[in-house]
Amino acid sequence: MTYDSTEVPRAAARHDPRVVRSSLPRLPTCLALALSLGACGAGVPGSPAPGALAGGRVPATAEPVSIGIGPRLRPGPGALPQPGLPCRPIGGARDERTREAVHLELFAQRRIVIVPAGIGIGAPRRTDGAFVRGGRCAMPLRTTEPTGVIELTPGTRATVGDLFAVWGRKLGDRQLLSFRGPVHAWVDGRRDRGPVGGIALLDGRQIVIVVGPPVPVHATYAFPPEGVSRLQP
Amino acid sequence: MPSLRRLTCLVLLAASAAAGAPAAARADGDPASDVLLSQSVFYPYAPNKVPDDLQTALDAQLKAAKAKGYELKVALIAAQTDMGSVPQLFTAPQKYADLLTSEIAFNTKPRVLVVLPSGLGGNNLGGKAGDALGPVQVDPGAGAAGLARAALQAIGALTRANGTPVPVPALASQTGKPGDGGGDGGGPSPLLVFGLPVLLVALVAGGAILRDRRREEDEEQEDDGGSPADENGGEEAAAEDAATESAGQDPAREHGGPPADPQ
Repeated sequence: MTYDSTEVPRAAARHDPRVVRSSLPRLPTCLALALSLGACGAGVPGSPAPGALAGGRVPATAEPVSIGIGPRLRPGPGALPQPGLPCRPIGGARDERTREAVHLELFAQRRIVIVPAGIGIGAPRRTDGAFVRGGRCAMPLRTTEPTGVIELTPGTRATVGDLFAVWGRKLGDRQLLSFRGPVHAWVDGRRDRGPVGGIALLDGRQIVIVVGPPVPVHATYAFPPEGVSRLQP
Repeated sequence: MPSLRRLTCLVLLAASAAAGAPAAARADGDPASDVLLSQSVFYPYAPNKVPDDLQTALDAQLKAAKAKGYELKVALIAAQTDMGSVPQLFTAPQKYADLLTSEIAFNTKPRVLVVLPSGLGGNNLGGKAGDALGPVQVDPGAGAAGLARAALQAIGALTRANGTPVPVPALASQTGKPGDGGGDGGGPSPLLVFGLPVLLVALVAGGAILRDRRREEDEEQEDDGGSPADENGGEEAAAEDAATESAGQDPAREHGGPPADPQ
């Protein structure tokens, strides 16, 4: 099942207990935190603060979240299973700079899970530092950098479930990769209560998937104006 | 009165969150943190490309510093689109450095240097880092190349202060504009910057020469008996010449010169 933005239950997002629920700090701590929050914002003239928490909601936690270590939190790009999407040789017109992209953030046990470069790109892959520059073939949805940006060939209709199928990793309402527990998703800062695998990968979307304790949720992502695709034949 | 305290707390937090959200940016979302796990430098996205020679110099300098025991992660941020979900930190280098450090730390203390048009920020750079970085300035008008040059100078200063100096390449002291150094700096083309004024000067000079030649021709015709168009006299013609010039008309047509279309 595929969702679009109109199908996200928006009203429910404001009352999502996983986001709002937290043990409130004591008043002095709260006052200091509030002052520091205000001071930070004062130094950013003219900024629309698009990375703010969705809907101006109170953050569940103001503590930093680190990128995890180990293969569970830094999984590889997979061996490219064939879920029915074509994997075409790189270098054609459709490999020109990608025009559509989605940003996906994954969290497990309050750690950032890296979405690796090379998903949807057939081995042997050609890498350059953190980036994948080429490979045997490329699928209509793929990653060339480990930043969570999912590149889409314009016109591609795919879901988060499709991405995980291409990646060769598990995703369900009670499992994210090798982590088990209730899985929660946000689309453009709004809680999505449908099946997480059914969330549509639409251009410009910011999708956050969390298993485990709550984390702050970004509502938007500033995509590079010229795209991120760096695939070369 | 726990409920009152909770309410007060919520109001304070909500008000401060509304005043500015940067402190709420406490999770993944900036591309540099992910890229720096696998390499030493995060370079800005196109069109703010760091010229190749500067990239080569910066990579080599960091390699030399690492060989001397001073490993460092550097993020060059040229635009808000280099910051993903935290563009609001674009004018707050130290806050961004703090966020970046917390993301890639995981029980370590990585040396982190961020270079933005608005300045530098960093963490775990050594006790003398503040003094060392004091003289380093970012030229905000020099685009991505300016960021790279500031990084080269900063790394030189930091390693010197740490007792493990690495040389600063000559490229670091160039005062170029975007696009210098053989790469695409994302700014206006040098052809446009330097060529346009030259073209304007040439046009003005050409116009003056043409006008003088026509005036000479008019004077010659006057000497030969004149024409009906010249009955007003030379001074009035000159005044009219100036008036028509300022109105953007063709003085040659006004002064009885050859028509644009003889038919």
